[in-house]
Amino acid sequence: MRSTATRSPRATSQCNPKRLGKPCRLVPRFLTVCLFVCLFVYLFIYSFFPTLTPHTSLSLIVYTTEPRPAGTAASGVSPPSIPSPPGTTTPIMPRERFHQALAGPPLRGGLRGGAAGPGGARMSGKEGSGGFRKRKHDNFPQGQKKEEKENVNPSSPLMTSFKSFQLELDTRHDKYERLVKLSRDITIESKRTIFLLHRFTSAPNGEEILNESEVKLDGVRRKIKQVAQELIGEDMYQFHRAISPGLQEYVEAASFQYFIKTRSLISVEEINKQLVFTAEDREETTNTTSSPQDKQPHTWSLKVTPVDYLLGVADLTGELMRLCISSVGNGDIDTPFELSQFLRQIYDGFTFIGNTGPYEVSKKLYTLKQSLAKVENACYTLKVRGSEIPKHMLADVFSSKTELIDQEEGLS
Amino acid sequence: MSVSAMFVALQGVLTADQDVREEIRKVVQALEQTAREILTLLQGVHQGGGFQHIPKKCQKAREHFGTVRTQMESLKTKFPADQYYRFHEHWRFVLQRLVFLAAFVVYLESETLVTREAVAEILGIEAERERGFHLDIEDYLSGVLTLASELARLAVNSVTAGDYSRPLRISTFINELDSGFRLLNLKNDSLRKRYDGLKYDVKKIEEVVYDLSIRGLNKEATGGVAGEK
Repeated sequence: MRSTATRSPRATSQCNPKRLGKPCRLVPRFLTVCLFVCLFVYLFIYSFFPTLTPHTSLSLIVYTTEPRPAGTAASGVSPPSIPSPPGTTTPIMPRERFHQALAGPPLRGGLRGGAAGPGGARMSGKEGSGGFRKRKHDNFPQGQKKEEKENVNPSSPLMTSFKSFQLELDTRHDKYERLVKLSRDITIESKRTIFLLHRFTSAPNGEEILNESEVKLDGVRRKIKQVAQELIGEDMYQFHRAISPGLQEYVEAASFQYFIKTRSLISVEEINKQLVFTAEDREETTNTTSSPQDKQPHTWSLKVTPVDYLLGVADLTGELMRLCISSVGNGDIDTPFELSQFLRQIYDGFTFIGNTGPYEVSKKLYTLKQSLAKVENACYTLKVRGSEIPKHMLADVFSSKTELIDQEEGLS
Repeated sequence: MSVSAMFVALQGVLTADQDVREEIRKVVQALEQTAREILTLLQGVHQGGGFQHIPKKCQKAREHFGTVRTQMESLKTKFPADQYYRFHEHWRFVLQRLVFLAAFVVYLESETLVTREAVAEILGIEAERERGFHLDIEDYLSGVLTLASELARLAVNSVTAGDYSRPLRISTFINELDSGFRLLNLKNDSLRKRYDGLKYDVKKIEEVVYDLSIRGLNKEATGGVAGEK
């Protein structure tokens, strides 16, 4: 605050006379008058308010912002004739004021310290003889302020307990952030696995791709293991929101792979069975033995909640739809029918659950319906025209057909 | 396992979950009712004549907390002990309210900030997660922040009622609280939003203290207190 008070006059006095020079001589004069007025206003306020500030440190924010517009307005009279000063002086004000308006916790602390410290010191040094000010000082004993400061000493029970809260909250937030990061990694890796598996239909070396996907999924599982380790001795639901997206994506990838391998839906139990980890190296063993909750010291597991599983399966249907369309493109006639059968089963399952589940489930149900409609339309087209069109031309028919469907969706 | 069988099983899980939530909701409603009763009782201290009856009112509020404890007991039985955070949202609000009430009672009695352990004891729950149904730290802090705004009100009303020394004590207390909260690194969550409101409470109380000081009323108050002593 003081810095702007000193900075703005200096800035204007340095550049104005030089730049203005001859063209208009009245303006510098006017400026100096303005400057004096500004200085006077600031001096007045700063000599007057420090007496009040120790106890109205917050109202200070209000008081000191008020004269500011006056200051900017006074210097704002001249700018029209001067090209450079507006660029140099005015930005300082709004930025300062902006910070003040923002005056969140840390800044306010600084403000208060500044108001009580230098303001008070300046006051007593400069104008200690001011009668009415002195009286107020009596009413406003410095001792009380000191007392407050002493009360806030770091060893009071309140402060010590807040320090422990700080530690606790920080640990919790750190853990949460770590989990969010892991969850994101899991999501990315799972997505890559899914893309890899989409290539399965077009590539001739299917086995190879399945093996590769298995390796990738193992990588994902290693990440999930880290998550499980983070959650040892914790309430999983406390951090559920951090890991839920990753788990859903994992369910999607794992169930997609499972479907390609076995043409059936993976169960929750199956997924959870894959997420039981055993210790691999020494460091992890020490971790597990220290956790009191595990009955078997060498394994720990992460359970995918039914809701996460459901949401993952709902995402799976989207992938299956894409698989269906692309398999037609490859001239595979049987897969679409098989897929539509399978999707219908899942859709029936979801309608059975209906509104019992949480909100997200019903939301995904809508997407599922759309995917199913696409697949069913594709099957219809295949059935009607499939016999007429030679196999090598099917791909073209379908690419146009699916585009059509996409357009319809965009419209609706 | 066929797809439909899987979904039937899942549906069973979801229905069970909903039943549990329904049960919890019932108990939480009862808790909210009790909390409202305590609040109504304590609001009496803001009235002009209420300041003389503070000890009596606290006594009564303490009795009500007995009801809270029994309701908490029944809440604990409604869900598996290790799934506290799964259903946390249900009682979060009422728990914060109860923390505030307990903190208010304790402040009125002793003019100190209630510790987390003490609140947990008043409400009949645990302070640490490991020991069962506990008081989440964020809920505790939110409750304390509600106390701050209530004290700002109390400072104003105590001046109206002619008690000029109380605002000064409240000011000291709130300042200490404020510097305590400033130690915390809050995330941009609901607690942070509540905390951002604290500065207005501080401001309000400082204004009251300023008004008293500028008129020399605080001296009178300390003199009066000394006279009483």
